[in-house]
Amino acid sequence: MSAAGAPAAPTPDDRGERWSCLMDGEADADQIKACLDDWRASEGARAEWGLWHAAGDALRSSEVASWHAEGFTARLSLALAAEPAIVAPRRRGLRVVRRVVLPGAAVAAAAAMLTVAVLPVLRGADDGVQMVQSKKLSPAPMVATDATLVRVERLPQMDQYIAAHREMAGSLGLPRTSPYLRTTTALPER
Amino acid sequence: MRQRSGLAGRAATQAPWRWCWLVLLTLSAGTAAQPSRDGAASRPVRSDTQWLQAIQAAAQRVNFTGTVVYQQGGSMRSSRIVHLWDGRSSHERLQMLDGKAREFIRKDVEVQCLFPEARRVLVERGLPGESFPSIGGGAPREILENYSLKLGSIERVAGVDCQVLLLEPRDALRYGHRLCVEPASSLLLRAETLDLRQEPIDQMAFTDVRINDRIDRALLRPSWSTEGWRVERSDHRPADLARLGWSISPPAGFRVLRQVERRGAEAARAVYQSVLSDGLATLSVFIDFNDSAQTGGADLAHQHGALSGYSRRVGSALVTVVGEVPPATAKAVAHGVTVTSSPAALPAAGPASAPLR
Repeated sequence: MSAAGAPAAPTPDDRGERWSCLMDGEADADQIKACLDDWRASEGARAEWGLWHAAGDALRSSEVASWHAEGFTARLSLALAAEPAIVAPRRRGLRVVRRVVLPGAAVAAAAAMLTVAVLPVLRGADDGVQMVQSKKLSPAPMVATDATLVRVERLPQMDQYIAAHREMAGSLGLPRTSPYLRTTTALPER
Repeated sequence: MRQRSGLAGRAATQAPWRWCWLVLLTLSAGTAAQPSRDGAASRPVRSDTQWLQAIQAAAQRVNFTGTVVYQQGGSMRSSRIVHLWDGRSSHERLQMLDGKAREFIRKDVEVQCLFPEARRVLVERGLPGESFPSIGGGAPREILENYSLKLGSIERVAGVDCQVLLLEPRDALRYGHRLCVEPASSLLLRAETLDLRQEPIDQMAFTDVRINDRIDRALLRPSWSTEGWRVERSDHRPADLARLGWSISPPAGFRVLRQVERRGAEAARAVYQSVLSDGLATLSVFIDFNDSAQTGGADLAHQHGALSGYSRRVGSALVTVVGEVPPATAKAVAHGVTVTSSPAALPAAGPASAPLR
């Protein structure tokens, strides 16, 4: 691929090829710059970039794919912009960001104990893999109408449910031990 | 240092050791109880039922100390465990080694959960065999109706040879389990939960263990004096969901174990909990009348390691299924919950001013 010096609006095919190179670590400096410029300039490019990753993640695992959420990057940008540039973030502000950042962070670090993916009841699809993979084959509907494949949210009382489950049911399950869960979830600290 | 067979050393002075002898003599059916270094030559001959019984008994009646690592999804925790059988009761102390300082002191079924920074003790009553290294108290016959047991190879966990046992689910409603059991004591050293593709999604294992050592009772005492700490008791009492008009359809192989009503300090209304089990796996169905609108109408699905959850609105309640079952099972159970239009199904706001805590 010739180094595209002119930032002429790339066709989708150009774009795909460039991104493929970028994601595979084969892009040279000019190609990377072209990708970034394109990404910065074009809403469509950003949506497509998200789609590419959603598709890749779907192929890897349903759990990873389930973290993709509509407008995630947009909300992240907003939250970051709203965040004061201080070294020690305020508690309240942190929570806002955490809620938005959680999807990515949880995939990478899996530090969060339990988060909730809201699956719109889509054609009885049981499995996020199928759901997202089918979108990969026909990307347009996902970007347009069905982009809210998965909403990420946390059911506030889930920790208490889990603790209650451990207490009443742990006795018959395999090693579940309420104790282990309580370190991160648990009882309201009063 | 590690005494694995119960045939040596200080055995004669301790009641638990006598018990171990009995187990070995009855269950090993004449095979050599002394484990050999090559392992495979000394597999005890046991029926499937005997294996399960032996594991359950060992968790209660074998003395051990060790470090246990628990991995769920991408998170990992470790804890220090000390267990003593004094001839009548099972005593255990579990210290969390990471995260906030927590200790759990258990005598038989009563567990004290210590929260030092809050100077608080929560007292719960469980059932025997509540936690690792037990597999729970489900009847072996019931377990074997839902899982088939297969002997695997000899592996090593925490430097100890152990026998792999596979509990393969008989259908897709439940996960499989891969256990590794120290043959002489029958102590469970590692338990993995396998997803439907046989990939481990959860595991708990000793990283070091000493079996049948003498246990100093001082090791069972908590790290802190709990004098002056606030003591709280778990807040549930029996309930009858059918009488309230609710119907739960257990999946094949599961049955309802118990039903309780919980009333948290902040909750205006009771939360009902129904516990289902197939002998090994359990799930809870919660029927919650507090803030049921917060799902925004959509069903919620969640998963972390082997733990699945599914929430949906039924009538004016939020119904949530939580358990160590495949997501499809949680979903099916949630969709099987129905309510009649009986007014009893919609309890009036409870005495929020008098929380039962």
